[in-house]
Amino acid sequence: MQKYLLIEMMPLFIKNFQYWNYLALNEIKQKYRRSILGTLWISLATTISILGIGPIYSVLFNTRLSDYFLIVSIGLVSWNYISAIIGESCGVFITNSGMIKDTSLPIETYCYVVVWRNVLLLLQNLIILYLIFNIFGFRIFPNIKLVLVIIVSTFFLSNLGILLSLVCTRFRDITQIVDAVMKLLFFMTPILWVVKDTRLEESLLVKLNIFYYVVDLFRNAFINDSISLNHLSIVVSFSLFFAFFKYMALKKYKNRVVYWL
Amino acid sequence: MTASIELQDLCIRYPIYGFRSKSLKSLILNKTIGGIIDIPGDYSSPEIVALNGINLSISENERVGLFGHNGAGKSTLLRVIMGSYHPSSGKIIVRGSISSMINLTLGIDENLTGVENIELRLRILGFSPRMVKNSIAEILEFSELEDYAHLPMRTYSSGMVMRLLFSIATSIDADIVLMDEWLSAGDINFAKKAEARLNNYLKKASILVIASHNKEMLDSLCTRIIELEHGSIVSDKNL
Repeated sequence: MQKYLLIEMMPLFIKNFQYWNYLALNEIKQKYRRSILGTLWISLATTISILGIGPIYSVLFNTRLSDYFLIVSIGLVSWNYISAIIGESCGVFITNSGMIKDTSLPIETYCYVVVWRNVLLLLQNLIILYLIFNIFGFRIFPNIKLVLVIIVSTFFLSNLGILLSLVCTRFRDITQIVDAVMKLLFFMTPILWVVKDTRLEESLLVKLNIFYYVVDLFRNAFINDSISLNHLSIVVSFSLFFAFFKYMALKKYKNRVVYWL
Repeated sequence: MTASIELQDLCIRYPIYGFRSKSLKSLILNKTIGGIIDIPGDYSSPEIVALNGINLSISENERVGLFGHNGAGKSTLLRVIMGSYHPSSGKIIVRGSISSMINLTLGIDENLTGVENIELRLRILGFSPRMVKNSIAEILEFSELEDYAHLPMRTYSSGMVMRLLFSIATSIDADIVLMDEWLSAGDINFAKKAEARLNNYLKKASILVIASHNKEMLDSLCTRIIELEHGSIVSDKNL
Protein backbone atom coordinates (compact mmCIF):
# COMPACT_ATOMS: atom_id res chain seq x y z
CA MET A 1 0.00 0.00 0.00
CA GLN A 2 1.23 3.41 -0.90
CA LYS A 3 1.02 5.84 1.98
CA TYR A 4 0.36 9.48 1.36
CA LEU A 5 1.58 11.08 4.52
CA LEU A 6 3.73 14.05 3.78
CA ILE A 7 7.04 12.35 4.51
CA GLU A 8 6.19 9.29 2.50
CA MET A 9 5.07 11.43 -0.37
CA MET A 10 8.49 12.98 -0.85
CA PRO A 11 10.21 10.06 -2.58
CA LEU A 12 7.38 9.70 -5.10
CA PHE A 13 7.56 13.41 -5.67
CA ILE A 14 11.29 13.45 -6.28
CA LYS A 15 11.31 10.20 -8.23
CA ASN A 16 8.71 11.53 -10.60
CA PHE A 17 10.02 15.07 -10.78
CA GLN A 18 12.25 14.43 -13.77
CA TYR A 19 9.34 12.80 -15.45
CA TRP A 20 6.73 15.48 -15.00
CA ASN A 21 9.21 18.27 -15.48
CA TYR A 22 9.95 16.79 -18.88
CA LEU A 23 6.27 16.32 -19.74
CA ALA A 24 5.37 19.85 -18.63
CA LEU A 25 8.12 21.38 -20.74
CA ASN A 26 7.15 19.17 -23.62
CA GLU A 27 3.52 20.24 -23.43
CA ILE A 28 4.51 23.89 -23.44
CA LYS A 29 6.80 23.28 -26.38
CA GLN A 30 4.11 21.44 -28.30
CA LYS A 31 1.49 24.10 -27.73
CA TYR A 32 3.63 26.91 -29.05
CA ARG A 33 5.37 24.99 -31.79
CA ARG A 34 5.48 26.87 -35.10
CA SER A 35 4.66 30.20 -33.48
CA ILE A 36 7.45 32.72 -33.66
CA LEU A 37 7.06 34.22 -30.20
CA GLY A 38 6.38 30.86 -28.53
CA THR A 39 5.49 31.05 -24.87
CA LEU A 40 5.94 34.81 -24.96
CA TRP A 41 2.43 34.87 -26.39
CA ILE A 42 1.04 34.16 -22.96
CA SER A 43 2.76 37.16 -21.46
CA LEU A 44 1.93 39.23 -24.49
CA ALA A 45 -1.76 38.38 -24.20
CA THR A 46 -1.72 39.43 -20.55
CA THR A 47 0.12 42.64 -21.38
CA ILE A 48 -2.39 43.51 -24.07
CA SER A 49 -5.35 43.06 -21.74
CA ILE A 50 -3.63 45.13 -19.06
CA LEU A 51 -2.99 47.93 -21.54
CA GLY A 52 -6.58 47.77 -22.72
CA ILE A 53 -8.24 47.53 -19.33
CA GLY A 54 -5.95 49.97 -17.50
CA PRO A 55 -6.93 53.35 -18.99
CA ILE A 56 -10.67 52.59 -18.74
CA TYR A 57 -10.91 50.98 -15.31
CA SER A 58 -8.50 53.38 -13.66
CA VAL A 59 -11.00 56.15 -14.45
CA LEU A 60 -13.88 53.97 -13.35
CA PHE A 61 -12.26 53.20 -10.00
CA ASN A 62 -10.77 56.68 -9.69
CA THR A 63 -7.22 55.40 -9.33
CA ARG A 64 -3.96 56.78 -10.74
CA LEU A 65 -3.18 54.92 -13.97
CA SER A 66 0.30 53.87 -12.89
CA ASP A 67 -1.00 52.48 -9.60
CA TYR A 68 -3.79 50.76 -11.42
CA PHE A 69 -1.40 49.09 -13.84
CA LEU A 70 0.34 47.49 -10.86
CA ILE A 71 -2.94 46.37 -9.31
CA VAL A 72 -4.43 44.87 -12.43
CA SER A 73 -1.27 43.27 -13.81
CA ILE A 74 -0.51 41.12 -10.77
CA GLY A 75 -4.24 40.51 -10.33
CA LEU A 76 -4.59 39.10 -13.84
CA VAL A 77 -1.37 37.12 -13.74
CA SER A 78 -2.22 35.43 -10.44
CA TRP A 79 -5.81 34.79 -11.51
CA ASN A 80 -4.69 33.25 -14.81
CA TYR A 81 -2.47 30.95 -12.77
CA ILE A 82 -5.31 29.96 -10.44
CA SER A 83 -7.96 29.46 -13.08
CA ALA A 84 -5.64 27.59 -15.45
CA ILE A 85 -4.76 25.00 -12.81
CA ILE A 86 -8.35 24.57 -11.70
CA GLY A 87 -9.75 24.50 -15.21
CA GLU A 88 -7.18 22.05 -16.55
CA SER A 89 -7.32 19.80 -13.50
CA CYS A 90 -10.97 19.07 -14.14
CA GLY A 91 -10.26 17.35 -17.43
CA VAL A 92 -6.75 16.09 -16.80
CA PHE A 93 -7.57 12.37 -16.58
CA ILE A 94 -9.88 12.52 -19.57
CA THR A 95 -7.19 14.26 -21.63
CA ASN A 96 -4.64 11.66 -20.57
CA SER A 97 -6.92 8.65 -20.74
CA GLY A 98 -4.71 6.92 -23.31
CA MET A 99 -1.69 7.22 -21.07
CA ILE A 100 -3.60 6.14 -17.99
CA LYS A 101 -4.86 2.99 -19.70
CA ASP A 102 -1.50 2.03 -21.11
CA THR A 103 1.00 2.90 -18.42
CA SER A 104 1.15 2.19 -14.73
CA LEU A 105 2.17 5.63 -13.52
CA PRO A 106 0.43 6.91 -10.37
CA ILE A 107 -2.43 9.09 -11.57
CA GLU A 108 -1.37 12.10 -9.48
CA THR A 109 1.53 12.46 -11.89
CA TYR A 110 -0.78 13.89 -14.53
CA CYS A 111 -2.03 16.50 -12.05
CA TYR A 112 1.51 17.46 -11.15
CA VAL A 113 2.27 17.97 -14.84
CA VAL A 114 -0.60 20.47 -15.03
CA VAL A 115 0.52 22.29 -11.89
CA TRP A 116 4.17 22.37 -12.83
CA ARG A 117 3.51 23.59 -16.37
CA ASN A 118 1.50 26.47 -14.92
CA VAL A 119 4.13 27.27 -12.32
CA LEU A 120 6.66 27.63 -15.14
CA LEU A 121 4.32 29.91 -17.08
CA LEU A 122 3.62 31.95 -13.95
CA LEU A 123 7.33 32.45 -13.37
CA GLN A 124 7.76 33.61 -16.95
CA ASN A 125 4.86 36.06 -16.58
CA LEU A 126 6.25 37.43 -13.32
CA ILE A 127 9.70 37.93 -14.75
CA ILE A 128 8.27 39.85 -17.67
CA LEU A 129 6.13 41.99 -15.36
CA TYR A 130 9.18 42.89 -13.31
CA LEU A 131 11.08 43.76 -16.48
CA ILE A 132 8.33 45.98 -17.89
CA PHE A 133 7.67 47.81 -14.62
CA ASN A 134 11.34 48.42 -14.01
CA ILE A 135 11.79 49.78 -17.52
CA PHE A 136 9.02 52.27 -16.77
CA GLY A 137 10.66 53.33 -13.55
CA PHE A 138 8.74 51.40 -10.91
CA ARG A 139 11.03 50.20 -8.13
CA ILE A 140 9.64 46.73 -7.50
CA PHE A 141 11.81 43.65 -7.22
CA PRO A 142 11.39 39.92 -6.80
CA ASN A 143 11.29 39.15 -3.09
CA ILE A 144 11.27 36.25 -0.71
CA LYS A 145 7.67 36.90 0.33
CA LEU A 146 6.49 36.42 -3.22
CA VAL A 147 8.39 33.13 -3.37
CA LEU A 148 6.61 32.04 -0.20
CA VAL A 149 3.25 33.05 -1.69
CA ILE A 150 3.97 31.08 -4.85
CA ILE A 151 4.87 27.97 -2.83
CA VAL A 152 1.81 28.20 -0.58
CA SER A 153 -0.60 28.91 -3.42
CA THR A 154 0.86 26.09 -5.49
CA PHE A 155 0.38 23.71 -2.60
CA PHE A 156 -3.17 24.94 -2.22
CA LEU A 157 -3.98 24.68 -5.92
CA SER A 158 -2.41 21.26 -6.40
CA ASN A 159 -4.48 19.80 -3.55
CA LEU A 160 -7.65 21.38 -4.82
CA GLY A 161 -6.76 20.41 -8.38
CA ILE A 162 -6.25 16.73 -7.60
CA LEU A 163 -9.49 16.66 -5.66
CA LEU A 164 -11.36 18.26 -8.55
CA SER A 165 -9.72 15.99 -11.10
CA LEU A 166 -11.08 12.94 -9.30
CA VAL A 167 -14.57 14.33 -8.80
CA CYS A 168 -14.84 15.69 -12.36
CA THR A 169 -13.80 12.40 -13.92
CA ARG A 170 -16.49 10.56 -12.04
CA PHE A 171 -19.22 13.19 -12.41
CA ARG A 172 -18.81 14.95 -15.72
CA ASP A 173 -21.28 17.71 -14.82
CA ILE A 174 -18.99 19.08 -12.14
CA THR A 175 -16.62 20.30 -14.84
CA GLN A 176 -19.37 22.53 -16.18
CA ILE A 177 -20.21 23.75 -12.70
CA VAL A 178 -16.58 24.57 -11.95
CA ASP A 179 -16.38 26.38 -15.27
CA ALA A 180 -19.39 28.53 -14.48
CA VAL A 181 -18.25 29.24 -10.93
CA MET A 182 -14.78 30.27 -12.06
CA LYS A 183 -16.26 32.68 -14.60
CA LEU A 184 -18.34 34.23 -11.87
CA LEU A 185 -15.45 34.34 -9.44
CA PHE A 186 -13.43 36.36 -11.93
CA PHE A 187 -15.80 39.23 -11.18
CA MET A 188 -16.26 38.51 -7.49
CA THR A 189 -12.56 38.27 -6.73
CA PRO A 190 -10.50 41.46 -6.44
CA ILE A 191 -8.64 41.03 -9.71
CA LEU A 192 -9.50 44.21 -11.56
CA TRP A 193 -10.20 46.03 -8.32
CA VAL A 194 -9.02 46.07 -4.70
CA VAL A 195 -10.88 45.76 -1.45
CA LYS A 196 -10.64 49.21 0.11
CA ASP A 197 -14.15 49.84 1.36
CA THR A 198 -14.90 48.43 4.82
CA ARG A 199 -18.34 47.36 3.63
CA LEU A 200 -16.56 45.09 1.18
CA GLU A 201 -14.10 43.87 3.78
CA GLU A 202 -17.01 42.80 5.95
CA SER A 203 -19.00 41.29 3.10
CA LEU A 204 -19.36 37.53 3.26
CA LEU A 205 -19.25 37.38 -0.52
CA VAL A 206 -15.66 38.57 -0.28
CA LYS A 207 -14.67 36.90 2.96
CA LEU A 208 -15.83 33.45 1.96
CA ASN A 209 -14.02 33.56 -1.36
CA ILE A 210 -10.77 31.68 -0.79
CA PHE A 211 -9.32 33.05 -4.03
CA TYR A 212 -9.59 36.56 -2.63
CA TYR A 213 -6.90 35.68 -0.11
CA VAL A 214 -4.68 34.05 -2.72
CA VAL A 215 -4.87 36.98 -5.13
CA ASP A 216 -4.40 39.41 -2.26
CA LEU A 217 -1.26 37.60 -1.08
CA PHE A 218 0.18 37.77 -4.57
CA ARG A 219 -0.65 41.43 -4.94
CA ASN A 220 0.77 42.57 -1.63
CA ALA A 221 3.95 40.58 -2.04
CA PHE A 222 4.40 41.85 -5.58
CA ILE A 223 3.66 45.52 -5.03
CA ASN A 224 4.47 46.19 -1.39
CA ASP A 225 6.87 43.38 -0.49
CA SER A 226 4.53 42.60 2.39
CA ILE A 227 2.53 39.63 3.49
CA SER A 228 -0.57 39.30 5.62
CA LEU A 229 -0.03 36.49 8.08
CA ASN A 230 -3.74 36.36 8.64
CA HIS A 231 -4.44 35.71 4.95
CA LEU A 232 -1.51 33.35 4.69
CA SER A 233 -2.80 31.20 7.53
CA ILE A 234 -6.26 31.09 5.95
CA VAL A 235 -4.81 29.79 2.68
CA VAL A 236 -2.58 27.32 4.51
CA SER A 237 -5.49 25.96 6.53
CA PHE A 238 -7.62 25.56 3.41
CA SER A 239 -4.68 23.78 1.76
CA LEU A 240 -4.40 21.35 4.66
CA PHE A 241 -8.14 20.83 4.60
CA PHE A 242 -8.05 19.98 0.89
CA ALA A 243 -4.88 17.95 1.37
CA PHE A 244 -6.68 15.76 3.85
CA PHE A 245 -9.59 15.14 1.48
CA LYS A 246 -7.22 14.61 -1.40
CA TYR A 247 -5.39 12.02 0.64
CA MET A 248 -8.61 10.22 1.53
CA ALA A 249 -9.98 10.42 -2.01
CA LEU A 250 -6.79 9.17 -3.59
CA LYS A 251 -6.52 6.33 -1.14
CA LYS A 252 -10.02 5.22 -1.91
CA TYR A 253 -10.41 5.96 -5.60
CA LYS A 254 -7.02 6.21 -7.31
CA ASN A 255 -7.29 2.65 -8.56
CA ARG A 256 -10.80 3.20 -9.87
CA VAL A 257 -10.06 6.23 -12.03
CA VAL A 258 -9.04 4.10 -15.01
CA TYR A 259 -12.52 2.56 -15.06
CA TRP A 260 -14.23 5.94 -15.02
CA LEU A 261 -12.66 7.08 -18.25
CA MET B 1 15.92 -11.70 -9.49
CA THR B 2 13.73 -14.09 -11.37
CA ALA B 3 10.73 -12.79 -13.21
CA SER B 4 7.31 -14.12 -12.37
CA ILE B 5 3.64 -13.28 -12.56
CA GLU B 6 1.21 -14.48 -9.97
CA LEU B 7 -2.55 -13.89 -10.03
CA GLN B 8 -4.70 -15.08 -7.18
CA ASP B 9 -8.44 -15.20 -7.54
CA LEU B 10 -8.32 -11.99 -9.50
CA CYS B 11 -11.50 -10.22 -10.56
CA ILE B 12 -11.95 -7.10 -12.64
CA ARG B 13 -15.37 -5.56 -12.48
CA TYR B 14 -16.16 -2.13 -13.68
CA PRO B 15 -19.32 -0.09 -13.87
CA ILE B 16 -20.47 1.18 -17.24
CA TYR B 17 -21.29 4.79 -16.84
CA GLY B 18 -22.84 6.79 -19.64
CA PHE B 19 -25.09 3.86 -20.30
CA ARG B 20 -27.40 5.62 -17.93
CA SER B 21 -25.37 8.83 -18.00
CA LYS B 22 -22.50 9.36 -15.62
CA SER B 23 -23.86 12.58 -14.24
CA LEU B 24 -24.77 14.21 -11.01
CA LYS B 25 -28.25 14.79 -12.35
CA SER B 26 -28.99 11.12 -12.69
CA LEU B 27 -27.59 10.46 -9.24
CA ILE B 28 -29.81 13.09 -7.66
CA LEU B 29 -32.84 12.33 -9.80
CA ASN B 30 -32.54 8.66 -9.02
CA LYS B 31 -32.65 9.54 -5.36
CA THR B 32 -35.68 11.74 -5.67
CA ILE B 33 -37.82 10.00 -8.24
CA GLY B 34 -36.63 6.47 -7.76
CA GLY B 35 -40.14 5.24 -7.07
CA ILE B 36 -41.82 6.73 -10.12
CA ILE B 37 -39.59 5.87 -13.02
CA ASP B 38 -38.71 2.25 -13.32
CA ILE B 39 -35.15 2.31 -12.13
CA PRO B 40 -33.65 -0.57 -10.18
CA GLY B 41 -33.78 0.00 -6.43
CA ASP B 42 -30.30 1.45 -6.16
CA TYR B 43 -28.68 3.97 -8.46
CA SER B 44 -25.66 1.87 -9.24
CA SER B 45 -24.65 1.38 -12.85
CA PRO B 46 -24.60 -2.01 -14.53
CA GLU B 47 -21.27 -3.72 -14.09
CA ILE B 48 -19.09 -5.56 -16.54
CA VAL B 49 -17.19 -8.52 -15.20
CA ALA B 50 -14.13 -8.44 -17.41
CA LEU B 51 -12.15 -11.04 -15.50
CA ASN B 52 -13.62 -13.46 -13.06
CA GLY B 53 -11.60 -15.41 -10.51
CA ILE B 54 -8.38 -15.80 -12.46
CA ASN B 55 -5.76 -17.99 -10.83
CA LEU B 56 -2.57 -18.02 -12.79
CA SER B 57 1.10 -18.42 -12.16
CA ILE B 58 3.66 -17.72 -14.85
CA SER B 59 7.32 -18.31 -14.21
CA GLU B 60 10.68 -17.81 -15.89
CA ASN B 61 11.12 -18.83 -19.53
CA GLU B 62 7.46 -19.30 -20.25
CA ARG B 63 5.94 -18.13 -23.51
CA VAL B 64 2.27 -17.76 -22.79
CA GLY B 65 -0.34 -17.34 -25.49
CA LEU B 66 -3.75 -15.93 -24.57
CA PHE B 67 -6.46 -17.14 -26.87
CA GLY B 68 -10.15 -16.34 -26.96
CA HIS B 69 -13.00 -14.52 -28.65
CA ASN B 70 -13.33 -10.77 -28.79
CA GLY B 71 -14.18 -9.58 -25.33
CA ALA B 72 -12.95 -12.73 -23.65
CA GLY B 73 -10.66 -10.66 -21.44
CA LYS B 74 -7.30 -11.09 -23.17
CA SER B 75 -6.39 -7.42 -23.39
CA THR B 76 -7.79 -6.74 -19.95
CA LEU B 77 -5.56 -9.46 -18.55
CA LEU B 78 -2.55 -7.89 -20.27
CA ARG B 79 -3.41 -4.49 -18.80
CA VAL B 80 -3.77 -6.02 -15.35
CA ILE B 81 -0.30 -7.51 -15.62
CA MET B 82 1.03 -4.19 -16.89
CA GLY B 83 -0.46 -2.47 -13.86
CA SER B 84 -2.86 0.04 -15.34
CA TYR B 85 -5.98 -1.94 -14.43
CA HIS B 86 -6.23 -2.54 -10.74
CA PRO B 87 -8.00 -5.64 -9.45
CA SER B 88 -11.45 -5.23 -7.94
CA SER B 89 -10.69 -8.21 -5.78
CA GLY B 90 -7.94 -10.76 -5.58
CA LYS B 91 -4.23 -10.24 -5.84
CA ILE B 92 -1.55 -9.76 -8.41
CA ILE B 93 2.17 -9.99 -7.84
CA VAL B 94 4.54 -9.19 -10.68
CA ARG B 95 8.30 -9.51 -10.34
CA GLY B 96 10.54 -8.05 -13.01
CA SER B 97 10.45 -5.12 -15.37
CA ILE B 98 7.67 -4.93 -17.94
CA SER B 99 7.63 -3.82 -21.53
CA SER B 100 4.19 -3.34 -22.96
CA MET B 101 3.62 -3.53 -26.69
CA ILE B 102 -0.11 -3.22 -26.27
CA ASN B 103 -0.30 0.31 -27.57
CA LEU B 104 2.61 1.27 -29.76
CA THR B 105 1.26 4.73 -30.49
CA LEU B 106 1.26 5.66 -26.82
CA GLY B 107 2.32 9.27 -26.36
CA ILE B 108 3.12 9.74 -30.04
CA ASP B 109 2.49 13.24 -31.36
CA GLU B 110 2.62 13.69 -35.09
CA ASN B 111 3.71 17.31 -34.81
CA LEU B 112 6.93 16.28 -33.10
CA THR B 113 9.93 15.13 -35.10
CA GLY B 114 10.99 11.49 -35.20
CA VAL B 115 13.76 12.08 -32.69
CA GLU B 116 11.47 14.00 -30.34
CA ASN B 117 8.91 11.24 -30.50
CA ILE B 118 11.51 8.63 -29.65
CA GLU B 119 12.56 10.73 -26.71
CA LEU B 120 8.98 11.32 -25.57
CA ARG B 121 8.07 7.66 -25.80
CA LEU B 122 11.16 6.49 -23.95
CA ARG B 123 10.81 9.15 -21.28
CA ILE B 124 7.22 8.11 -20.68
CA LEU B 125 8.51 4.60 -20.10
CA GLY B 126 10.92 5.89 -17.49
CA PHE B 127 14.20 6.17 -19.39
CA SER B 128 16.71 8.70 -18.11
CA PRO B 129 17.89 11.39 -20.54
CA ARG B 130 21.23 9.62 -20.95
CA MET B 131 19.62 6.27 -21.74
CA VAL B 132 17.43 8.02 -24.30
CA LYS B 133 20.47 9.53 -26.00
CA ASN B 134 22.09 6.13 -26.32
CA SER B 135 18.99 4.55 -27.81
CA ILE B 136 18.14 7.19 -30.39
CA ALA B 137 20.95 6.42 -32.84
CA GLU B 138 20.28 2.70 -32.67
CA ILE B 139 16.55 3.13 -33.24
CA LEU B 140 17.04 5.45 -36.18
CA GLU B 141 19.57 3.15 -37.74
CA PHE B 142 17.38 0.09 -37.53
CA SER B 143 14.29 1.87 -38.79
CA GLU B 144 16.33 3.37 -41.65
CA LEU B 145 14.80 6.75 -40.97
CA GLU B 146 17.95 8.78 -40.31
CA ASP B 147 17.13 11.16 -43.14
CA TYR B 148 13.73 11.86 -41.68
CA ALA B 149 14.83 12.07 -38.06
CA HIS B 150 14.31 15.81 -37.80
CA LEU B 151 11.12 16.08 -39.79
CA PRO B 152 7.75 16.19 -38.06
CA MET B 153 6.11 12.80 -37.96
CA ARG B 154 3.03 14.01 -39.84
CA THR B 155 5.20 13.99 -42.96
CA TYR B 156 5.91 10.26 -42.55
CA SER B 157 4.05 7.63 -44.51
CA SER B 158 2.09 5.15 -42.39
CA GLY B 159 4.70 2.50 -43.16
CA MET B 160 7.46 4.76 -41.88
CA VAL B 161 5.49 5.48 -38.72
CA MET B 162 5.06 1.76 -38.08
CA ARG B 163 8.78 1.17 -38.65
CA LEU B 164 9.68 3.82 -36.14
CA LEU B 165 7.17 2.63 -33.54
CA PHE B 166 8.30 -0.94 -34.00
CA SER B 167 11.94 -0.01 -33.61
CA ILE B 168 11.25 1.96 -30.45
CA ALA B 169 9.20 -0.83 -28.89
CA THR B 170 11.85 -3.46 -29.58
CA SER B 171 14.63 -1.34 -28.14
CA ILE B 172 13.31 -1.47 -24.61
CA ASP B 173 14.72 -4.45 -22.77
CA ALA B 174 12.54 -5.94 -20.08
CA ASP B 175 12.04 -9.16 -18.14
CA ILE B 176 8.40 -9.44 -19.11
CA VAL B 177 7.07 -8.59 -22.56
CA LEU B 178 3.36 -8.08 -23.13
CA MET B 179 1.99 -8.15 -26.66
CA ASP B 180 -1.43 -7.76 -28.17
CA GLU B 181 -1.15 -9.59 -31.49
CA TRP B 182 2.08 -10.22 -33.33
CA LEU B 183 3.85 -7.21 -34.76
CA SER B 184 5.07 -6.68 -38.25
CA ALA B 185 6.14 -3.55 -40.01
CA GLY B 186 7.16 -2.14 -43.32
CA ASP B 187 7.67 -3.59 -46.79
CA ILE B 188 8.88 -7.14 -47.50
CA ASN B 189 12.55 -6.41 -46.88
CA PHE B 190 11.92 -4.56 -43.69
CA ALA B 191 9.39 -7.09 -42.46
CA LYS B 192 12.05 -9.83 -42.64
CA LYS B 193 14.52 -7.70 -40.73
CA ALA B 194 11.80 -6.79 -38.23
CA GLU B 195 10.85 -10.41 -37.69
CA ALA B 196 14.46 -11.28 -36.89
CA ARG B 197 14.75 -8.37 -34.49
CA LEU B 198 11.51 -9.20 -32.74
CA ASN B 199 12.49 -12.86 -32.31
CA ASN B 200 15.84 -11.83 -30.97
CA TYR B 201 14.19 -9.33 -28.64
CA LEU B 202 11.76 -11.89 -27.30
CA LYS B 203 14.60 -14.35 -26.71
CA LYS B 204 16.16 -11.89 -24.28
CA ALA B 205 12.97 -11.57 -22.25
CA SER B 206 12.25 -14.04 -19.46
CA ILE B 207 8.51 -14.08 -19.93
CA LEU B 208 6.34 -13.37 -22.92
CA VAL B 209 2.59 -13.01 -22.70
CA ILE B 210 0.90 -12.56 -26.06
CA ALA B 211 -2.79 -12.27 -26.86
CA SER B 212 -3.96 -13.29 -30.30
CA HIS B 213 -6.71 -14.77 -32.44
CA ASN B 214 -4.15 -16.57 -34.55
CA LYS B 215 -4.00 -20.10 -33.13
CA GLU B 216 -1.26 -21.32 -35.49
CA MET B 217 1.02 -18.45 -34.59
CA LEU B 218 0.47 -19.05 -30.90
CA ASP B 219 1.08 -22.78 -31.32
CA SER B 220 4.40 -22.21 -33.01
CA LEU B 221 5.55 -19.42 -30.67
CA CYS B 222 4.31 -20.35 -27.23
CA THR B 223 5.07 -22.98 -24.64
CA ARG B 224 1.71 -22.60 -23.00
CA ILE B 225 -1.71 -21.68 -24.30
CA ILE B 226 -4.40 -20.25 -22.06
CA GLU B 227 -7.89 -20.00 -23.41
CA LEU B 228 -10.21 -17.37 -22.00
CA GLU B 229 -13.95 -17.19 -22.30
CA HIS B 230 -16.15 -14.55 -20.69
CA GLY B 231 -13.37 -13.55 -18.36
CA SER B 232 -12.54 -16.99 -17.05
CA ILE B 233 -9.85 -19.47 -17.93
CA VAL B 234 -11.40 -22.42 -19.72
CA SER B 235 -8.23 -24.28 -20.61
CA ASP B 236 -4.55 -24.05 -19.74
CA LYS B 237 -2.27 -26.34 -21.72
CA ASN B 238 1.47 -26.73 -21.75
CA LEU B 239 2.73 -27.60 -25.20
